[in-house]
Amino acid sequence: MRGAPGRLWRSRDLVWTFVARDLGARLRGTALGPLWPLIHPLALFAAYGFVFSTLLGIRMPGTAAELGHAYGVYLFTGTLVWAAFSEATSRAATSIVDHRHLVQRTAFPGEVLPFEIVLSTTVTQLIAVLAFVLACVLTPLWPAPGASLVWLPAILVLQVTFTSGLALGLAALHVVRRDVAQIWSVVLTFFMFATPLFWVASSDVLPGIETWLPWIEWNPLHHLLRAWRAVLMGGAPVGLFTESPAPALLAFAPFAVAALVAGLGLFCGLERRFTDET
Amino acid sequence: MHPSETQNERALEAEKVSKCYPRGGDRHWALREVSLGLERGASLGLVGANGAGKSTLLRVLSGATPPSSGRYRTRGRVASLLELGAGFHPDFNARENVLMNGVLLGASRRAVRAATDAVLAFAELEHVAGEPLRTYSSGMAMRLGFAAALSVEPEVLLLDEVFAVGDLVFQKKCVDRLHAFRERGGTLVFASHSLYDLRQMCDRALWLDAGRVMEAGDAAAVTNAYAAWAGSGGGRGTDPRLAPSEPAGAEPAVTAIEVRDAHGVPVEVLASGSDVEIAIWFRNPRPGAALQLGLTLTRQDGTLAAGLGTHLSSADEGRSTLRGARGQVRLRLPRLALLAGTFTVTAHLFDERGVHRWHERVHDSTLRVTNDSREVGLVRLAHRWSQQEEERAA
Repeated sequence: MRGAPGRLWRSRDLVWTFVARDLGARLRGTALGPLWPLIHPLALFAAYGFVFSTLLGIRMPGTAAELGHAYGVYLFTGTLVWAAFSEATSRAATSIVDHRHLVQRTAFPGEVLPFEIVLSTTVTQLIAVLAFVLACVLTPLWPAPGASLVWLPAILVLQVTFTSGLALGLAALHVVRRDVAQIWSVVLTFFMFATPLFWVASSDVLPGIETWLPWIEWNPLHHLLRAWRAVLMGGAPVGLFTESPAPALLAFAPFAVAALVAGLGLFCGLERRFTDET
Repeated sequence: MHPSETQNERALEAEKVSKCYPRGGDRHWALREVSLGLERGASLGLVGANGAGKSTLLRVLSGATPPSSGRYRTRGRVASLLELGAGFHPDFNARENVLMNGVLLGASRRAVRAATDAVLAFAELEHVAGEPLRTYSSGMAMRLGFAAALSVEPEVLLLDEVFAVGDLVFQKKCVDRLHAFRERGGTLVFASHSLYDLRQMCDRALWLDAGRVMEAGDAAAVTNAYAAWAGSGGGRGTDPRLAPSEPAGAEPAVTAIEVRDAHGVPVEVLASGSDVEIAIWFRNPRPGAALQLGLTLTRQDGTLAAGLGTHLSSADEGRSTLRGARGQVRLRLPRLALLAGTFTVTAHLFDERGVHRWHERVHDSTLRVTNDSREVGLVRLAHRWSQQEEERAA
């Protein structure tokens, strides 16, 4: 188990080549090329803002009245993180099996496959973050995040740690039990609604949530989203999101480490079966 | 490691390597206690029927799959061409694919980038290097894969049936490249069904059947043993020469070759210009189908000195087809025109049209030709010098 991180580091050229290819493959032959990763989140952002704030007029209590788009921004920042997480884990789950021709016939470290997917989805996510910051700077939608952005590296490291752990574990399990990817997609659906993505984990906003709050503490993504929102929405003068990301990150860190340890353990334990069972 | 330290070290070592695959709730032993050792610069050919374990052995040695039991050790960078064009993506161009392939085989991005121009030149694809791979013909893609894999400068190279790559000119380039690799001290393991290629490339051979080593040793001896076994239907017969009444094998086969001098005495050394007779025994389990017999003499450096065939000769020379369940063919070569050299005698058994090759057998001993004159070259051409004086001195 100690070998896997070392091997990942030694094969960093391979990881990087895979990431570059993964990102490049989606843009090959498109006219707008590198603009697409920016266009997607901007379109989503515009849609959320229009539907929830303008059309439905949903207001977030506790935010300043002039920040009418709070719910749209809230949804968008959540979706950003959720999309990266769900895409990374579901694609990673089948990654070893999908590349069976490589796994069986070439001697390369298999952990590169789930890991590069985590990295490349993170890069996509960062482009969306950039799109958000740009939109905040260029429009009066939301106050642009400022100093809170210094927390980004810490959030990213922990997010990649957590997601990699799940990605490695799922990829390894899927080799042995092919139902794993399907099961995971079902789990993701429930997970999505169990995570404060569309709803707010605050009794100020949702009075009925009170009894559930202790349980929500056990959802690692709740903490991750809190941290992200604290960074991205923290520019607001008042309201829910002016907290420091530190407590949320502190709460998330044990989950991240546990996920990585468990995922690596599963991966290394099942690794010997990859070439024979893919 | 300094070359001096590794000079006599084994580049490759396997000790009782076994590999077991689960198959339909059962266990399938693809390799059973295979042991081998290969010095630096040596080359080993793997022969055996489909499913005999050749590819599995290569996969284990490449590190792609761990053995179920036993140990193996390799020294130096191992490159395997088990998956030609590993990591190739149709939407990317040649350069990008070479990069991916090289990095997958363990080279650094910097090293692959530096070698890419040479790879493209070798694959003769410089003019389309910027085009996506999907616009390439399959032959072009394979050429790129082969060139890319050889560029990572391995110390041990594992090849699995890759000579069907590209056209004949490119195949020749590949063979030259492999020879150069060996001359630099590279160690080669090569699995092939082409016994001819195998003998050209390898000095030693290992014959596998059902995961077990049947025979190991000199390439010509092992490949002949394998060819005889395969020709006799795979394990049901023994050496056909020793057992004339053995049950008929499934396919036509050359069962023996003998090279004789003018007195009919079997020889291994002959003087240039002497009369030679070569006797070839064959067996045809399908007597209904006529056969053609070919005979090649190949000098040790790989030069084909002569290729004769019952279907290629004129009526005067005894053009004929082989009929009957078994028989002996005699080929007389009066005043052998070959100059000094060591030659491999190979008999080939073809179908009626001389297209499909049923079997080939290499004569166990090479034929050494000596000559007294100081002439050089491959053959001694019948000749006469003459001179005419145009002008007489006054």
